[in-house]
Amino acid sequence: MKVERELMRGAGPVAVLKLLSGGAKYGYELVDALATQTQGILSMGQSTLYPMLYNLEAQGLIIGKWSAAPSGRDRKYYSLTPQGQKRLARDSAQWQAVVQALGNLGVLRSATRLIPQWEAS
Amino acid sequence: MSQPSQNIQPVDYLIVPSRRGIARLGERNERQIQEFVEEIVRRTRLWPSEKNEVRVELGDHFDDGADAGHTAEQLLQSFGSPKLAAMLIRKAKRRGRPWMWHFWRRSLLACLGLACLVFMSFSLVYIRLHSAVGKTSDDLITIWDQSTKKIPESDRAWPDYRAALMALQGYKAPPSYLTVVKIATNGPRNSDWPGTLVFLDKNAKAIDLFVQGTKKPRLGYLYRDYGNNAWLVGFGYRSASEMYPVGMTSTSIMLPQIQELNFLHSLLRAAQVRALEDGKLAEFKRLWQAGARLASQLSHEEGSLIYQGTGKHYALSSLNTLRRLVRDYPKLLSDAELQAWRQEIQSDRWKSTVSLADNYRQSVQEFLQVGYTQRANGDGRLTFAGCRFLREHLVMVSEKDAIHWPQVLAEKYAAGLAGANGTNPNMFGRRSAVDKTFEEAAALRWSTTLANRKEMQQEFDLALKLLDEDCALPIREKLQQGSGSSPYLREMQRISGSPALFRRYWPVLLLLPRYDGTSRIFAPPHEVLVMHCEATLATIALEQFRRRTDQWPAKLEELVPQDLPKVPTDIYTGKPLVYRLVNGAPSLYSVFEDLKDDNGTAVPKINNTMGLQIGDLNFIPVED
Repeated sequence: MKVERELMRGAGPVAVLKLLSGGAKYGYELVDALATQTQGILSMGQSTLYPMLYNLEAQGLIIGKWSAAPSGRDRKYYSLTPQGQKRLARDSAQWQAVVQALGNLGVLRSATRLIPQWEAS
Repeated sequence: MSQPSQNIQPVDYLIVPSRRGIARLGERNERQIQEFVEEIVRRTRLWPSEKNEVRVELGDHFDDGADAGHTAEQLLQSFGSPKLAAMLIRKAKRRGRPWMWHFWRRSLLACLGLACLVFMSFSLVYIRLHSAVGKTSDDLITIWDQSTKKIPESDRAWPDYRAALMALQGYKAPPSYLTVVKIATNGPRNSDWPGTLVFLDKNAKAIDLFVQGTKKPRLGYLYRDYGNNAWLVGFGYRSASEMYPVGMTSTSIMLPQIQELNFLHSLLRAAQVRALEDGKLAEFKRLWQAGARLASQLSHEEGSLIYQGTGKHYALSSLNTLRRLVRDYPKLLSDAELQAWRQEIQSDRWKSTVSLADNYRQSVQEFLQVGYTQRANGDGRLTFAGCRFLREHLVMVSEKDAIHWPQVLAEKYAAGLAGANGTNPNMFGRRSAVDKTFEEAAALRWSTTLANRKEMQQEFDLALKLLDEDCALPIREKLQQGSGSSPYLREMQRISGSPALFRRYWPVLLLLPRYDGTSRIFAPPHEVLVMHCEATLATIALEQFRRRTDQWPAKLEELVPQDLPKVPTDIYTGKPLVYRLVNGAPSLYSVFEDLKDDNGTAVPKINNTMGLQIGDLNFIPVED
């Protein structure tokens, strides 16, 4: 299932911030994590991911640093800034409220049951 | 799938892309991915350092993908559109640039936007100005020539005057124009008098032709007459078509006919003096009558104010010569002849019918008709021809002329029409590109600031009405009241004194007389002529009194009523002209515009502050 662009525009940055809250990651690592940890629902084209990273970096929410990985290759690792942590907390609370509200309306009632079906399809 | 991100070490050396992963995909696929990355990088149009970073990071991304076991096609497909990626990367990267860059960029954009706005506004004004067409394209020359053509050819004097000019012998050789004028004024006292006598003898035929022309009722000069070309070119002017191109404004109109008539008139005066010196009264009378008829011809000529001004000056000159005859050559005159001259002066030949304001009305009409479009409701907007009209008038404004309305001069400087000394550096169209740019800019500004047709017409109408009233006032009253009391001048000062009004109505100050004194000197009002006539009658009366009593009267009142109907009035004071006996000889004079009795001393100067003439104006003895 493909998530609408408008919804992705709101969810994408929070997802990236959340992934980075677990430690510094480079671009491909984030692509991979988004695909596997969200069962592909929040998987985004890399043509969107990298601009999103640059945007978050421009806003001061994440910081990118060139570093040598254990494998010896130089990569740009992105990590969360204190400002990014605050933003993540705020956005998480907001998403929580949205989920709660949608649940109250009955929109999310069968959401957990649907996920395996998508995986199967 | 991905490498654990522990134990990572920062690098501070130049980053270079790793190609180990992609290299495993084969040379062809490696090149394909590299080209894909390069395309994105190229499309971002970022700074080189930013491009390099993006290139390395994307290279690493594909390297990682290849390491994870994906094929080149899978990697490229999952990446998405390079165009979209480049656009989004460009936006995001630019957002992350330093605040100074954002500041300069926004400032630059604001400036560019402003420049575009200004350019578009000016373009609109420019198109609006250049597309506006006046009510008529007829210039004054066309109007004047149409009026002249209605005069029967047999009534036109100009063909005779032209023939007289063409018949002149030795015109270019000495005595020159100025010498002849001087000799005509000074007569035998001039050292060139013998040479002038030779010149007069040589040109007797030309003088006869000239005298013949004065017998015609009208001048009848046609400006766009190809028949004038031989004379024009022969006398150093350009041909009629070159001098009077269609569409020219009244300021550019040259009047060579006046210049050459001045020469003929001076020649006539010299011939008159010669006739007196030779004791030939009949010849003097013939020549004097010719001069008087020429004065009358020009005084009644429609068109340029210069005609009427010149006519009046010729009339004053004729009266001057007549006083000279009575005062300096009394033996030539019998009592009957004295009486005949008296009747001549009392005739209505000297009456003028043309008002000063009417002359300015003509110029104003020309400006409004050529310079404004005209809608059905009488309103309209300024045309480029109108701006050109104003520009040409501004060129003619000298610092001296603009002394009373300095803002008009300021407008001239603003329009780039003045050289270092305030005069026009290149008159008659020989202007540089910079000058023309200034003029074009001035035209654009004027088109947005000057009043529209209706408002301008109303202001001109009001000012001309006040000028009419001002001209109708006797000079004496105007001098007594002072310039500040004139409603006309007060209206001019109202416009001049308010920046808002000046911006809208400065052409009123430009086209109408700046100070009535200026016009008074240029084209003397009828009152002046009346005073000269009365003074000449008094001169004849004095001679008649002397012949009867063998002495001069002690007072002018003694002449009344037998020799003089009334004592001549000084128009400047309203009192009788000053009469004195100095060393046994009579002296008659006006105190002139400064109202101060200088004991008959003439000081031919103009007081620039007030535009008034100072010194006394002598009638007896006769001034040169």
